[in-house]
Amino acid sequence: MGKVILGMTMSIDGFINDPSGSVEALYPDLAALQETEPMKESLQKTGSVVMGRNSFAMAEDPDKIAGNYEYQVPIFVLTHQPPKRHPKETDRLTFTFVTDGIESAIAQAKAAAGDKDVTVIGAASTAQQCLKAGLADELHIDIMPVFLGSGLRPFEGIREGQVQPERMKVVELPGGRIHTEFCIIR
Amino acid sequence: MRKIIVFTNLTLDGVMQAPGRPDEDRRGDFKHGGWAAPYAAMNEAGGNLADAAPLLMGRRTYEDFYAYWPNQTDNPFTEVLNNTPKYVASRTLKEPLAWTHSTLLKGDVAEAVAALKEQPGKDFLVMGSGELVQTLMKHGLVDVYVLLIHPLILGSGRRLFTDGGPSSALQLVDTKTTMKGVMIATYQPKKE
Repeated sequence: MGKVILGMTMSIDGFINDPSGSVEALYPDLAALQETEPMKESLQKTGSVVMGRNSFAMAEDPDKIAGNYEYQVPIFVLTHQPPKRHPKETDRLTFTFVTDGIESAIAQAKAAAGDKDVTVIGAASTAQQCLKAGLADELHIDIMPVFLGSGLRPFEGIREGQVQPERMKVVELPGGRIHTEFCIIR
Repeated sequence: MRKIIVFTNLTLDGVMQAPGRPDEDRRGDFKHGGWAAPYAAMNEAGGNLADAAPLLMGRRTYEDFYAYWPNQTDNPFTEVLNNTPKYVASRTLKEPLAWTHSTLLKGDVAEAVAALKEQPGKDFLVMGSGELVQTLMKHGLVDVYVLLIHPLILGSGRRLFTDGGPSSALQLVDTKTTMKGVMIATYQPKKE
């Protein structure tokens, strides 16, 4: 059985997007990032992806996710309202819009991933739900060398003891990105 | 020009409050004081750094250090702190300050610090002093951030980087990880 991995990129001051909701300042290195070991490993091990509605909405054209998105695997979008028109799919990349909560999304994603991992793309609310419900096995946090000043904080509302991360790996990537991996002790 | 080095213990969720002791800073009913102590990362982060650098301190950190350090008998750090020049930002304290080698920063803090940087001498170290750090950041006076990021999520407590701070790009100049899993990341503001 695979693991559930919560991945996110954060600024030094602890934000995962800027006040306008943009993550651009956190990914100046997108092309180089694809070539890094942790990313390659993630692409290879990920059997399905869970993302929030906001992450899904970041795609300019949802029909272009199939064939273009890094993870060409079944995608489970956590939302209250599925889009009116189902986005384009391929043999490898399918969309499931999950409206009955994070537990259900993770359970379905696990089933789809089989022996591989479920990667949760961490918009703040999805990340928090995942941590609070004790659903994540690992936390992968990248820290980018930038101050955003304001924005969303991923760990707001987490109580002490609810999440106990234990360091597994810290790697410095090009562009000053620090990639960290923690397993979560339960 | 003398540099200003911000040297801080942080949790993964950015909390800086009361890393050393339970009674260090209980503001906001903070119950997790002393969270950094078991990791003892300060020693690995560069004892040389703390050796004899003059300190820039906020009033609260100054008072807390003064209440604690001069009373420690067995710690070599006590003598270092007693003898090092300490510059204190405060709206309420009056000179002379009680702790030896302490000077009150007069007038506008940012202006006073900017003037100090121009004088010859050693680089300054800022420990704790959350409010002062925010003022220094706002005025672009910080040259180096040494962040000791602990593998902890506390969920509450005062943060070093508060909402509404400046936004800017930095450069990662060094990372290392201690045996107990504390990441020590050193950043410098990117030159325009």
